[in-house]
Amino acid sequence: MTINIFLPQVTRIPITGPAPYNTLVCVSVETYLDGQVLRDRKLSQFPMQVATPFRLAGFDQRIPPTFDHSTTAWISSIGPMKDGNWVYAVNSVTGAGFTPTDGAYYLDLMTASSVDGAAPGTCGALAENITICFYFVRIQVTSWVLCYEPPMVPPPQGHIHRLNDLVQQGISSAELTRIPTGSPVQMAATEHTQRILQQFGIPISISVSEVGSVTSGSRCTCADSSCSTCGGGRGGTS
Amino acid sequence: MIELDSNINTQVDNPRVIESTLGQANRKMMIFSGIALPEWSVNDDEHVYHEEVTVNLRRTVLAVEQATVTVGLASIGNDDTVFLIAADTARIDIDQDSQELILKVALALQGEHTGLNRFGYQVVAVVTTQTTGISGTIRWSREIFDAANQTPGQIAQMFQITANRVERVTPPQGFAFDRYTPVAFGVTTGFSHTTDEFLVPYEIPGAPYNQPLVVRVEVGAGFRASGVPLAGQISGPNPVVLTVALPGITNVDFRVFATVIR
Repeated sequence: MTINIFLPQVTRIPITGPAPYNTLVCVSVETYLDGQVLRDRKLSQFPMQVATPFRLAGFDQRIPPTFDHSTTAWISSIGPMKDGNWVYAVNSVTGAGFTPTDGAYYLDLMTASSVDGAAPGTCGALAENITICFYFVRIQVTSWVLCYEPPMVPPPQGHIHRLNDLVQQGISSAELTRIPTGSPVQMAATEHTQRILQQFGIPISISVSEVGSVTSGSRCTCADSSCSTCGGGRGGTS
Repeated sequence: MIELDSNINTQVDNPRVIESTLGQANRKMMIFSGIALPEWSVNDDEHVYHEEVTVNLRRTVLAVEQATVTVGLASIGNDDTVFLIAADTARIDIDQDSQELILKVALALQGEHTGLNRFGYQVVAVVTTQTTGISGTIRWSREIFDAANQTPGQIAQMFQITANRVERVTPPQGFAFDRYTPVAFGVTTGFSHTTDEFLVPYEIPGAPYNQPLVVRVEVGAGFRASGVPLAGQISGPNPVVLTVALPGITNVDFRVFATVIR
């Protein structure tokens, strides 16, 4: 049986509380220990920040998000390295937060490593006295986050217009694109529309005096008593 | 066996618990995470050693309906020998006396100067629970400290409220003394005052069952008394014992006195 595992993962679970939370989010990410200068047999401790794919819906830069989290991290694989005296560690999950720019959720870790030496064939000279060695320490981080996200607004259920529908209702290309009436662009667009209509033999001609509002499934014309609902605009169709 | 306590930061690093309600009374989802510090090492590359580690998660429950447990190696090392470093199994259990959730992890090690210093854990559990706790008030006279201009947040910072397990320690030389180990932490839940005194209600949720607990209130630096402030219990049982039949104890009240040293 084929099993598909999609990483990174963000799972949102609607919850009833505790207030003010309405969503429980689970996010899992895989990351690597940042590259470090090797100091043979000496333990180096360093912080790192892990970005996650979780974006707080409804994030507003003016409002610091209220949230609580439960997060852990562990090492899932290491290597290649020279046999020797080594230590690899993710010592602590020191914090979590949302970036002030776009509400992306991140996690802060404190990690440590002590590498005895590189495995044969994993190093290359970058410059004189500078050698780059490849090794990796893969870390899995899973965080559960209690947060508030505004409920999703369902999309409008109105009629979805196709171009021909609109043309047959007498709506000009200028109206479709909200081009100011009388502008050179609008005039050119209108002429273009008329040429196309003539080309396909559609027995409608268009004369637009002002741009009216396009509403779901309705069209205001001068003869229409509902003109006032179109923001005062008066369209003309013949 | 290595016993770790999630209330002690040298035994579990940054333990975090979040709870969400599930729309039914006494039923919750609880998520526990942290990095445990067994700090276990061996110095023998010819044998595999096994060890069980327990982590007291310090939350009381009546039963566990469903749970998933995940653990992973978080700090490991070896010194140029054959080695084996493993977290073999992980499960949760309920302490039969205290009703606290316990994480149990089986570890294995082999190698010279080989250590499994830390492991990360995460427990996601749907549990049934009941509202437990100890509650009461902290009072003091306006003469000691006029806190009328303090915000509830500042008031909350003034007190550290704990429920403690107590052990009588008798050192080989010297006097016996009581060692207090906090097993649950309290929070203030309001703030009010009359013309003469101030009153701060508090709660300690989730204290363990079936063991004598001593409630302590430590007065912090924000309490600017004209003397050394000390909080003493003035009513309610001491020690407090919670049971499944009696999960809540109220009116464990304290009063703050100020000692002036002349």
